[in-house]
Amino acid sequence: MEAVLNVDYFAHILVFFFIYSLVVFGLSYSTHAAGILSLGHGAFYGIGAYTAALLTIHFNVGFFTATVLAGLAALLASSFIGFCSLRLKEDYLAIATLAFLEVTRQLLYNWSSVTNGAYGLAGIPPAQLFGFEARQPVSFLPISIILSLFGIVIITRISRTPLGFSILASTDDPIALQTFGKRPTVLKLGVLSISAFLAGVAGSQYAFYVNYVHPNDFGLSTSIMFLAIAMIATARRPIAGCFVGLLLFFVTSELLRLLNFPAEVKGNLIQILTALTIFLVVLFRERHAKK
Amino acid sequence: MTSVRPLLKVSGISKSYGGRNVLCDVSLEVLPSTVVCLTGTNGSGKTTLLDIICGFIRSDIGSIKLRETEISHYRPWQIARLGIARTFQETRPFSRLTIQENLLVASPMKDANSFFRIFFRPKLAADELRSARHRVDKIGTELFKGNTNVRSADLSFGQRRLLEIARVVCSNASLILFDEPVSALSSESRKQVVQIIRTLVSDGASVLFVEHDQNVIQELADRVYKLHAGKIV
Amino acid sequence: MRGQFDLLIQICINGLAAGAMYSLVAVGYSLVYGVLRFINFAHAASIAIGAYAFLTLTTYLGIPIVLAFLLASSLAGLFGWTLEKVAYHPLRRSSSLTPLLSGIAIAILIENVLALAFGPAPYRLSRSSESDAIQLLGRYSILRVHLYMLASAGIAAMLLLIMLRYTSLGRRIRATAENLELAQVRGIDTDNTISLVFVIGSFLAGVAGILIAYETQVTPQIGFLPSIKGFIAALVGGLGNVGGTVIAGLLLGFFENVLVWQLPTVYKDSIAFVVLIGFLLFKPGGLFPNKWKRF
Repeated sequence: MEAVLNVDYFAHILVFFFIYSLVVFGLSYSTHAAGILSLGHGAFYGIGAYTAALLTIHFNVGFFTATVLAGLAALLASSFIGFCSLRLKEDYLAIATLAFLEVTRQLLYNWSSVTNGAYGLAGIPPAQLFGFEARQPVSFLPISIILSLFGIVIITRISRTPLGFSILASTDDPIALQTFGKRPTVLKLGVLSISAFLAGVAGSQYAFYVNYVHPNDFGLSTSIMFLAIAMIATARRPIAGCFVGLLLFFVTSELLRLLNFPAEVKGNLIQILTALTIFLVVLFRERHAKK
Repeated sequence: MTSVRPLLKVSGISKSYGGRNVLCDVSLEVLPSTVVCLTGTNGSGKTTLLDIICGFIRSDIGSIKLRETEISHYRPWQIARLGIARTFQETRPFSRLTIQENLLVASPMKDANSFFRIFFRPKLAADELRSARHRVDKIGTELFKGNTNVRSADLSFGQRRLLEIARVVCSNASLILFDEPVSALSSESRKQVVQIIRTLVSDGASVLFVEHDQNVIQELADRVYKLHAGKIV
Repeated sequence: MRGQFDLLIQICINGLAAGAMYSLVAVGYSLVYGVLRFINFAHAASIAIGAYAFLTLTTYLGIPIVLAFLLASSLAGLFGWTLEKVAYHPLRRSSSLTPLLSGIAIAILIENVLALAFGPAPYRLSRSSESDAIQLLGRYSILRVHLYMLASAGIAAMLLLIMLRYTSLGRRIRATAENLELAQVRGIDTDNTISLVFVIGSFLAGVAGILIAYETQVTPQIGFLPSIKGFIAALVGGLGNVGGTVIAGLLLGFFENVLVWQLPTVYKDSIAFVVLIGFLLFKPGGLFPNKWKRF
């Protein structure tokens, strides 16, 4: 069924495009500029989603408040990774992020009294924006675009100021950076916190848009997908590369869907392509690295 | 004659690594607006002493006082914020940044460096950045003939030396530690560096530099300490 | 009271068997880290390849079990060799992060390729005789497969330690682990040594994969949890310290099963992660640090 030209469907894809973009912007900047490889960014996405879902289901919190609180919850959670980053080398830190991802997923899965465990949380009410109920993709799209722009502004502003230069320096030479009175650890933590916040905001959007969350939505494959997209960007162009990556991802995803593969096969193929992307990007960058 | 309080007072510093005595009861003083030279053979512990003063290494015993404040247990960034800057012998540029960006990182700025103030006080940050750029451009023209958009990873060793020096000039520090500032430089660049150090001192800073080159020492140093096998001679 | 004690013994046996598998996997991580100082994230793939190769050889090609066992493990070893050449060797010069990413990518690639090739549904390997229990000491029983696990881990550990200590390959590995450049200067073919390290580690992982497949079933994700737990064991034992790693693997399996006796079963896997986080934060050198020398 060639439903691509259906406006609703196209808008639906765009909504996800912009929701993912928020996660990927933060992840990209955190990875390239601050040198923190987060293999488990899906955890922040999931924490944001569940926080927003629970707040709105149990306490009737509105969309904007829930989104902000979701971002803050993810930011808070990132402090654990931040603490680890103070004590761990880069590759051990990556593993810690993986462990964090898995522990979060297990928590979401097993803490059934709160999260409804393996059944997921259904019945999340749609976002109420200025009196309208944003049920349709077309009505949700503006908000996801605006929030994505918000992410762009934050990241570009930081990267173009001396603060951004210091952040790059904190990865290049943290020792020399200290001799100018700056603290590399604080800078990296700041970037990590922001990237977690953005992921949390994205998660909240996901919850309000899809109206159902399940622990498996926020696992390793999701995290790796985000990472693959983020890897296409660079430290100097954290945003532009993300858009390229997002475009590649969504176009490929839709092509696969059009080729009528069964759902599982499509999933496998996407993961294969994601893995290949990461592998090729890593290899390519290594060949052309200036040392 | 009234005695001037020293800016930096190093007393009785000793450091040993696994049984080897790198530094043994080293003491020295740097008076305000003077140039002190630390010289000696390779391996006599000069760089280690600099590392200790900057807070990267803890001495076994001894004290370091900056204007009467004991700083021997301070972290490197705290010591830097008290007004001490240094260059590194092996040169440590921020490789992904251009020359200009390196210098901007070194320039002290409050608003343009804060996660909050770049968003909530954008005008202040922009003003700060503008004046810092102005200063940086001046130094950039002087030392690099204005080509400050080059990535510092692409610089020659001599240019990286100059970058080290330019960075500490931008840092506005009151005590600057140079680790072999003129080694591997052309004689013209050497003259430039000597002139820069003179200007720094006349603007009020103090300098402690490690060097072998006797000419430079003669030209600049007000006081010379010689370090041999960890001891002052 | 007697019943409780018997149950405890049974749990211990189960735990040690599980631990034996973790040890087999962990040794691979330990060896690779010892020589190259990075973490081979694609190790999970070796486990899966061992299992699926065995499945194909026995079920589809009708090859006798023992031969299939050796062949499948060797295929896993061969995969390890290829892995090093393709995914890690070109990245030698970079930070320890890029091989990590490369490894993860390969692990995901292999898992999904296997899923496409064999389908996501699990396969059962065991015929009834394999899962029979054997009587021990009159009162306790041990599953045959658990016995094989303990035996293979024990044999592998012994052979490995002997090899490292007394053979020329072992000397070469230890020299490379201690200082790669120095070893090269002394004329050791470090590239070859490193390849062999990968082959050995992946071979053992393949063995683990086959045995795990016997105990449970063959799925594309078969490598996932054992590889993580194997890594945790390797970390706890001290990356690069083979003896410590083996011990740590056994301990991990033991504690997992013992603790789950009292805790709700869902938290069994979380135990390993808590251990991981604990060690990462407080004792990243592992239980027996001072690593390379202890090879």
